[in-house]
Amino acid sequence: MEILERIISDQLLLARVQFALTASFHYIYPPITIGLSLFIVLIEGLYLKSKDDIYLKLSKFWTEIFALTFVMGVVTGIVMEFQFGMNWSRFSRFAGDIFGAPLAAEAIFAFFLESVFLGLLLFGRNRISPKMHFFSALMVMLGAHLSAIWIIVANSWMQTPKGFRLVEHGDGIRAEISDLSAVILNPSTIERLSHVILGAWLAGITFVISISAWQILKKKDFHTARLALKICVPLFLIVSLLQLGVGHASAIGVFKNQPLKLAAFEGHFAENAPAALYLFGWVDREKEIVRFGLSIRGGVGLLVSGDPSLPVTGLKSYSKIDWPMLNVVFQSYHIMIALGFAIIGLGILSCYYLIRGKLFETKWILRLLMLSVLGPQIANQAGWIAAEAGRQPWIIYGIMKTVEAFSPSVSATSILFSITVFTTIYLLLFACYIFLLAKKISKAGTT
Amino acid sequence: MISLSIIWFLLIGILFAVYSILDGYDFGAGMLFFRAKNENEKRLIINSIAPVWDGNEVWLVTAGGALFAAFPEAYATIFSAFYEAFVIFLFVLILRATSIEFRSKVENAKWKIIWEKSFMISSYLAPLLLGIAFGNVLWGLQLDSTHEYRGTFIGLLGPFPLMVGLTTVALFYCHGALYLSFKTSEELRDRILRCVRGSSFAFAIFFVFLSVSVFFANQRMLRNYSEYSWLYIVPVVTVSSLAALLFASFKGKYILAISASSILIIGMIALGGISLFPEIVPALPESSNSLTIFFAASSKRTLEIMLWIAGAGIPLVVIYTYYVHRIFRGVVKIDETSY
Repeated sequence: MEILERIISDQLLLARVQFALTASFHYIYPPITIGLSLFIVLIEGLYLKSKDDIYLKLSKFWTEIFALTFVMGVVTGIVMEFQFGMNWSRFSRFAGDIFGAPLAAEAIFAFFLESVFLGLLLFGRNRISPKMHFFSALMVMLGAHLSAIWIIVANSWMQTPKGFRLVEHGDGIRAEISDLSAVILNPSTIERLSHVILGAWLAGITFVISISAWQILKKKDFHTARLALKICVPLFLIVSLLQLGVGHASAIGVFKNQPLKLAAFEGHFAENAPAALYLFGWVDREKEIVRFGLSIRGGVGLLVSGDPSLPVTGLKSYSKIDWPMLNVVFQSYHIMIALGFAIIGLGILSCYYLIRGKLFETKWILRLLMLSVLGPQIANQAGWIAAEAGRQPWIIYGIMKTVEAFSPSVSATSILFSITVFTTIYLLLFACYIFLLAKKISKAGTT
Repeated sequence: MISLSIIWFLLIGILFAVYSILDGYDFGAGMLFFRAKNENEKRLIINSIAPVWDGNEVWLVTAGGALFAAFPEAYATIFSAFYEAFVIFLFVLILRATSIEFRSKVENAKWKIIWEKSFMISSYLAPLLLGIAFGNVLWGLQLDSTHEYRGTFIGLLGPFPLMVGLTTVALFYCHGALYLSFKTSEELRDRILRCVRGSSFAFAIFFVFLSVSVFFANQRMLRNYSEYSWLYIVPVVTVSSLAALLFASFKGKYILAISASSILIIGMIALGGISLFPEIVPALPESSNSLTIFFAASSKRTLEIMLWIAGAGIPLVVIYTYYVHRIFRGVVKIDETSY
């Protein structure tokens, strides 16, 4: 009971819970729409070229599903923009000079493009030429990708802040921009952006794959679903292999720029010594060891520089109060990596069956493909948890602590109220989304 | 630096004005949903905004983002002060968007009625809450010396903010009815147009109430007129557009009427801006805790960058938004892509 009382009166903890909740629920949808927008452009393009009605049918089906998913992303996304000011007023005052501009740019360059042209893509088919319709699909795709760019710029600046100076403002200090290109292209932007975009493509591709596999399992001669699989299965393998490379580059980036975070990823304690690479394990914060683990000696050094004896900065180089929640970070990071390899495995397997011409007859692999959407979804969520929880206790790495960032005027009760409201409506929305999606998919199965 | 802050104060006002004109008509369309008597008429109203509501709402996201970027202090103060109110506002926006999307997806009377009700109720609540928030900023907020809000949620529901909320509802209702006059035909159109007069009169009464309460209870809001007398043109234009609105809708000249209601929306926001300047969040009771636009603003460099972003992006947005509105112009035609 005492613990419960402490939790419900802890503004900082509640504000973090609120952010984690709304951000992770939001992040179910944009990756799907980013990946799906690419697929829609592809089939709209194929339709424009071949004039084959099967592409038209496929495009109509997926555009409608896109719209349903998109609206979920929009409504949960507005909450994100509002809550920087609502829950994190001191962060907003301190970093708004740098952090606000990418958010505004995201709206101006990305959201408008995506939203306005989605209206045409959805409702315009009988009013505009096929070429213009293709162009609308292209603009929706461009908008979706641009929004990823700007939000990653903003987030990467919180991970690896550059291009600013601290200036006195009123009674306190704030960060002001000193070098725009250093803010935009801060040390982690490029690798994190490519990692996120590929993760989103995988989410979209497996979304198509899962639904199509389900349709084929239900009804064998489902030719639009077969076509979708033929397009998406090879893409699935290619993108998952690219992600392996980009993920690796991303880890090297963390090694260079955020050594404390890397130490938490890998459960590496010793101050400056070769670090073991754990395949799995359980981090014991008190005893400062990893239990029940299986590891490759010197594996971290081997991966980042090819030298297993490379000394790696460990957790003990930092004061213990500055350590993030070690198991949350360690486990989510390892779940992400394990899923990444599982995805590659499934990609190889399904491509093999596709080339052999046996994919549509092999039930067990169709069943696996039907579940494939969970892979990138869980990996994306886990990756973000590792990235954000791994940055703690900093809200801006090395510059501002999360404890200094929340809104002092917002009481714990108010945050509890908002957590309750958003949890309720999000659960309701999720139920409706799944219900409508299932209805749409099975309805298509009967025609 | 001083002039950049003023430019951005103006631009934020323009962003909120464009947002209010665009989302105003689709909130209004939602409020008038009860005028539809059968499935076909309901579909006409929903599809009059289905292709465009989302793009319209991005203006709010843009205005919010621009406020964050250009006046971070104001963004932080306002958004944390209206915490509970904004939770409800977001809840309402979420419901409204999903109602439009979900309603047509299941052929079941109960399902449809649920989403119709939530669509209509949220279309009233969203502008009401926005108006209340705007009214509170105009009247002044209880801020401490760190510019954090020290009042309560109930403290936000004073008579002046509530009246600004009702004024917003009446204005968007009328504006939406005029929008629908171009999108619907025959009986439904007549039924909707009958709502114009009542709502514009209601607006006029609220407007008088607001003016009187400012004049007698909050002279701070009028100080700029004595210093810059040319500003009188703003209330003159606003009142004239109200007169033009009443006249044009009485005469059945709806292009003129919707132009008047759009100018009226701009006028209301401009009046608000004049009453604030040079503050962006006036503080009560200690006016020394107020956020001026100069203190609340970002650095010169950021304000310049933001000008570049807006200058490069907004003209493009205007062009393709206009283009898409043109594609869907005229009376709604229901086809297989419609909701």
